[in-house]
Amino acid sequence: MDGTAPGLAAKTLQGWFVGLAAALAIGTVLGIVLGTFSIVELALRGVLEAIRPIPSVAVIPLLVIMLGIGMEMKYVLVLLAALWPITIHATLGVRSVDAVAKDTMRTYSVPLRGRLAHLVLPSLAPQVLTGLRVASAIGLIVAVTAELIVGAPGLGNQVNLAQQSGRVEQMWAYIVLIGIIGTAANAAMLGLERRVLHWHASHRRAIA
Amino acid sequence: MRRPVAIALPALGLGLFLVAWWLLSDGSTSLYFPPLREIVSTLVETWTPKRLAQDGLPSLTRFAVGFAGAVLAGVSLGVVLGSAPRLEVALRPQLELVRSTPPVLLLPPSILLLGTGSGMKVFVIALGSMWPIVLSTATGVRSVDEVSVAMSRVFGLPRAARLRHVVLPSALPSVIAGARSALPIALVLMVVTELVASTNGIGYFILQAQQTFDIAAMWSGVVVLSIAGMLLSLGLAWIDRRVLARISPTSQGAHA
Repeated sequence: MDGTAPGLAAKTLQGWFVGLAAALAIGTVLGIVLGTFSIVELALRGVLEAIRPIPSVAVIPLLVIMLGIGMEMKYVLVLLAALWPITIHATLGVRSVDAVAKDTMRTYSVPLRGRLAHLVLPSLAPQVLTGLRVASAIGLIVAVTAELIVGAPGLGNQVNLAQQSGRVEQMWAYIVLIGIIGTAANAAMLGLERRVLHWHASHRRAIA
Repeated sequence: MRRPVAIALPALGLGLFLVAWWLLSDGSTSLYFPPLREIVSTLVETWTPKRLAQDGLPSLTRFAVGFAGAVLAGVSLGVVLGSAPRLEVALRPQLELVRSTPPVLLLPPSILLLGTGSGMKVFVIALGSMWPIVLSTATGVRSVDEVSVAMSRVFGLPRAARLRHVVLPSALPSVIAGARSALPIALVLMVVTELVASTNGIGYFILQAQQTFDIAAMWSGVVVLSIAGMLLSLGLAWIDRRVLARISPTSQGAHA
């Protein structure tokens, strides 16, 4: 099973999924903290702006000597690349909480749990999901890049091997397969957004 | 939050971070995280004008030519798709597939077709990073004010003049927005092409440092890359503001 296309696709998707899930968890928490406490956001802004422009592929050599060329390296790389979009969108989401609604809930002393569930979450979720969709595309790119460049297990590595051994049809077949997986992943993310956010203005069908 | 605070606090945060890094890493014997002191001294020693000319310049030249190609091709294709809605509908599935395919995958076929020279690298950067520009330009062209287009038609403006004076100026902000999302992709492709097949460039330098376990030099390469990335992105943001200010002076405030 390991050497076949489905097995290899599973390896690619596994790296993508684990890294993305970790980025979703960390990025959402980080975004909530940054969005809630503007002092923290300001204090960290300089550091984040200095780290963010580093192209994620530039750390591949470092990750390879630290973690080898296995799955762990792929997880960390996807996490690093997917973290920023989710964090930034989560920050925006917390900031977009309606101020009047917030004050109203305070005035009526709605407990924190209620405020989180009925006020913060509805503003946060659409942004986090948008961030997740952006991050998912980036995550797949870096996962495949890691496979292609350093030979981590997965479909990207097969493209490289096929090219080097002159199996041109196979090379194209793997490229098309990865393209289809990317398209499917994007469609899945859009579907997830529609399902989770069916109540949100951007997904409601116009009545008029 | 007043403005001085909004500038001072991030600077202070960054300063504290660097000081903490410097102090905490000073006695570090870890192979992967050398002392910041060592990284800085390596940075200064390594990235001399000579090294910048030898590794920095080839990278940036390939990047510049490739990115210019991406803008040129992206705008042309975007204008065609934007002004021919039926064609766009017909090509949408193909575009969707191409857009969802990680652009690094261009590398193996390009090596087969074009070898491993600078031409191949420029080609990969251009073709891989043009898609956001295509899509964004097409959207911009589609949303050109219909009255202006109809008017230019009524006054018998030739096609080329209509494109130059009506369509392109109005689509320009979308073109720049597309270019801004294409920039990081082009930068990534610049690095990737140098990691795989190269004899010079910043990516090649990082790979060489890794293979000789010169970790401080490797970090210095990463720092140089992130500075380059930051400057390029700031440059595009500046162009964006200038263009928006010229097109509609009122929108300047919203973007400043």
